[in-house]
Amino acid sequence: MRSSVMMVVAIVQGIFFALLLLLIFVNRARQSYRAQRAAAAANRVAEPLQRWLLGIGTAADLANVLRRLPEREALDQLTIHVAPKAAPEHLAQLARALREDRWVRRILAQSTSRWWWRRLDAARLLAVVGSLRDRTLLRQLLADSHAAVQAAASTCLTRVADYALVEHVLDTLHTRPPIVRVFQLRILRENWKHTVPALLERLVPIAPMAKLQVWIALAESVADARCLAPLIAFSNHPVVEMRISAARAIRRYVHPDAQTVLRDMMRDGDWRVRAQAARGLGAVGAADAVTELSLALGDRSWWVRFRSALALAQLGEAGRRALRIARERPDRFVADMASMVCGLSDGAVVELAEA
Amino acid sequence: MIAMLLQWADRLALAYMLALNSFYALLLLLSIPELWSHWHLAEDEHLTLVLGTEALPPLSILVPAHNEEMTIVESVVSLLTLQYPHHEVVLVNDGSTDATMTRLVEAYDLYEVPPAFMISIASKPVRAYYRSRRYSKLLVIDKENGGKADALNAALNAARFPYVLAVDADTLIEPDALLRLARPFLLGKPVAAVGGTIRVANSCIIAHGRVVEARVDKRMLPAVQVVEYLRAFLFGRLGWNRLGGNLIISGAFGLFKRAHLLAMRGYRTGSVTEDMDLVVRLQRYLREHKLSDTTSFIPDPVAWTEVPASVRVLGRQRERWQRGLLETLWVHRDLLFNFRYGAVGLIAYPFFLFGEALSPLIEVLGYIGIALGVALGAVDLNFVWLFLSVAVLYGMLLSVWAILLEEVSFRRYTRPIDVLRLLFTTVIEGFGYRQLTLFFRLKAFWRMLRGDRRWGVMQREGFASTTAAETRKAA
Repeated sequence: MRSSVMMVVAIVQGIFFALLLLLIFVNRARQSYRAQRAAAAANRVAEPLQRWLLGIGTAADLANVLRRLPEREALDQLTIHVAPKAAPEHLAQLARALREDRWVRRILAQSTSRWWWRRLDAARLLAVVGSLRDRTLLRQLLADSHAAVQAAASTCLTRVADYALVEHVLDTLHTRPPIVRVFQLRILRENWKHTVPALLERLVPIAPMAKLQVWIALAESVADARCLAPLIAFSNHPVVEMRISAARAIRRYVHPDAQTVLRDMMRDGDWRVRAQAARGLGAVGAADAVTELSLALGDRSWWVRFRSALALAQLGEAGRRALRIARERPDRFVADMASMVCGLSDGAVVELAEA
Repeated sequence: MIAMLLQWADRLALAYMLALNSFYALLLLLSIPELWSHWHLAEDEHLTLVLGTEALPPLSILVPAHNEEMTIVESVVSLLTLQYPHHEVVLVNDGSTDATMTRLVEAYDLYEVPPAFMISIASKPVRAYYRSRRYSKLLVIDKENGGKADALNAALNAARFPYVLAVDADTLIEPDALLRLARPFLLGKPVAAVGGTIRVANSCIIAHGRVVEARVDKRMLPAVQVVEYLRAFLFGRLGWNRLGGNLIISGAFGLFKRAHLLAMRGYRTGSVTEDMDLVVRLQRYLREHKLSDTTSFIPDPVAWTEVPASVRVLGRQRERWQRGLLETLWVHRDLLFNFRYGAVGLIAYPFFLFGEALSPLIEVLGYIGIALGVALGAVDLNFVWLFLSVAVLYGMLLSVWAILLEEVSFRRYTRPIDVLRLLFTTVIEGFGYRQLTLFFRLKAFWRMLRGDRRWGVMQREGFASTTAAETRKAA
């Protein structure tokens, strides 16, 4: 009885083993076929793409070629090869030519699929063919449960963003995973015409903390002069995280007001604020802050000493001289930090200061 | 009476095999959706585009090095030039007796700096700290020999960044591996540790510290280990991701949250396998402090390592791994079936104890029982043959499955000859290699009982320098 059961198990295993071997070889053949198909698709797209980019051909010619390709190849060609090469106005023409194609509608309809990679395909395609009328679909994809779909949908914002959509993105930015936030920050920065007014409305100390932190990060990335005043207002915020974010953001603003506020922040009670302020003084090239930074070399926090030494090294000869003097100071912590930073090349200092 | 005992032993062996193989089948099934998901993410160009941004956490690469004069300069260059926005390399010269330190000083224009670091974990005395005039990302610590764990502790003290990546000095990391390893951060998951895949570098084409073409060694011993590594990483650890009890993150390529390591007082210096011990302690720490941070394994970040090419070196390695496993399980024995530790106590620990640590003993008892049963006529010979065939065939199935997963997902081995070699090794693995490793693992029990704690020397052949012609050909 047991032998016969074993025999059955052995036979089933044998069949399964043979099937797996077969699958490996079939998969190899399939991969090779797909590679050939992709190469053929690239060849077919290359000429109309070239002509279209040079202004000889039309978007309709290119759309015709894409229409005749298998769906997967068409999507890959469009999103990987065509879209990055085309200027926005060119892409708008192509989007119009493609929009009513069956394969495009079929892929966009996958935006409600239960499989995230299908929704991802829809988001990738929408980033190329999307227009203002797709705002509802875009909002739905931006609210997707998978970060990859949200990130792909975010790229569509460059094409369809209006003030209302920018506001929506700003208000949900703090809930996004880091990868999506990076995408959206970049796109918001590119859309600065809508972004800055919407941001200025929101950069007020009474706003919720979680939102404020990402908005301050956005103000850092936008670096628009209009944002400096609201940022300076956060330098006295009662919550330390706000002051840290503000100090970090202000370092992007090369302006006398930025230098003044950063020098004030060097006296903050929290070492993290002082460290960021020191970093900021180096970044904005605050040559007048050599005295404050030299004093900060004796700070009780390692990070403040480190950032101050790096900042001094970024301030040209005056800062370097201060470091050389500090090397001889009796305070071992001051002398050690000055010695360490004195040995670094200018490039290494910048690299460390930005890290 | 003896016949009855043997019949019972026979049933027990059958039940053990059935339970263990069912669990492997479960891991295998669980690995499929994991691999599918990671493969889609790895393929998605949108994620790839933003990998080099400020969203990534800065990290420190900790590199313990002992007598690595032949490869150290190239290894450090390859680490310094990894694609990652913010990283530093903290290299520890752990009392090398060769010219490792001299080579580093010359190659990187090192200058001594004061010990401007907070020492949180005790280690053997540090002789000096060095920074490079040319690479701000490099910090070198020259210290007295104290072993790998001690060197890592010294590096942990000096690391500046919130995440640390422990790598072996002779491990070749793929240029984009750090970016891929950081995927959980980008997806907004709270992370305590992440492990990547280790692959076998023997016979691969290597240029400037990078593997430019993956190949399978013609020699059987390294080739069998390629399949072993594929099996361990592509479905073993991926399956554990789903079960929530990953107990192994390779010490040669694992990313950890520094704050957790400092809170746990770093690596345990007396441990034979410091990496497994660390992950088990981390799992305990997370559960005892009710932290939701996860430890996970990601298949696509790849580091390449040289595996033993001789039976003697393989023996030392496998014996040490088994001793480390036994020791770690013994130290943390209170985890066994402990509800407090969730999946780790209820699934992972029992599996590693009964399915991994004790398996050599059970296997050898099975062989003895079968031999005795046949000799005394208590067990049917036909049944024995069938039983052995099923056991060997199952091992082959798992190996072929791992190769299939590799083929449908990442396909590092592009040459058909390499796939054929891999398939061939799945057949011969059950005849000789398995018994050989069984012998080494049994030896570990003996040495463990004697209280032997030596590491054993892992002699390496070194990565063959690839000629320009070969590199061009590979490219």
